[in-house]
Amino acid sequence: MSAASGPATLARASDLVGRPVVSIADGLDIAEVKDVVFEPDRHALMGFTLNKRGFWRGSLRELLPTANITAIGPDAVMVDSADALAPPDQAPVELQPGSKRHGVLGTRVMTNGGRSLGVITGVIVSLGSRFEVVGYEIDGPEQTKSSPSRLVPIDAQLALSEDLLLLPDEIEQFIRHDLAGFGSAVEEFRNRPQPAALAPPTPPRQPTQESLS
Amino acid sequence: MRNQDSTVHRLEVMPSCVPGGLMDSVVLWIVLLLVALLVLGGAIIALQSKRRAGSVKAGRASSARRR
Repeated sequence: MSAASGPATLARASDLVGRPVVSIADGLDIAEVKDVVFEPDRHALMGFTLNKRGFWRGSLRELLPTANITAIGPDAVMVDSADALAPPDQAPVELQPGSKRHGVLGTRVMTNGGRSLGVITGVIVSLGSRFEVVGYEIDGPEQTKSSPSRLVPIDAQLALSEDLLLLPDEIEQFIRHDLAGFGSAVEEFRNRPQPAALAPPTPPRQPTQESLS
Repeated sequence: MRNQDSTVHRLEVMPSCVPGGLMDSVVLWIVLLLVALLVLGGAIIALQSKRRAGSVKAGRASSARRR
């Protein structure tokens, strides 16, 4: 099984929380999304921890790895059958109960130049050909009523630690205020010319015969 | 004399307020019980909401047991 193909749809990860998981084989709601878990170095969506259906029922032991998801739609997460739910020991390590997980909301965001941009208030995920985190929603000192949220794109080079998300100084020109134009901002940010400081170092010149003699 | 009797009778009847007081305390207990049930129900619902509340989390493989 693989992720659904098609144009990338962007969504807030928190909007996935509580979404029902529906089995295509029998049309049953088999669970609902509890936690959205992603890998902070590669920004890949690893999967979901689950709740049982119904308010009075608790957490489900089984987990839903991204590889077993057929589609993530606006109203439900679709899987081929109930077999898509994996026992903890067969799920990716990041999803397993013993793994080190931390909530990302509230993490401070700074530029490499030492300028604070605020804190993470949301995580933007792409639900297209790859399920991945493509940006963060931040809330900071520059937030105003006319621009209530700021969306910053990320790429594979930007790792999120438990304490901090460090972004390059030029990030500010890629900040957007709504999801509609954010997809193109992600593309532009990822295709931007790399600063010389980040370019791979050139190998030292080998001494030639003339210079040795 | 009759009037005196009836007065006496009325005075004797005055203690019939006691059942009313008893009723008041029963109502009080019922109200207290309802309030307690309401608080308990609210606490259970809040606890259950918290237990089911999800979040967005970053998970690292480094500190977890690898398969």
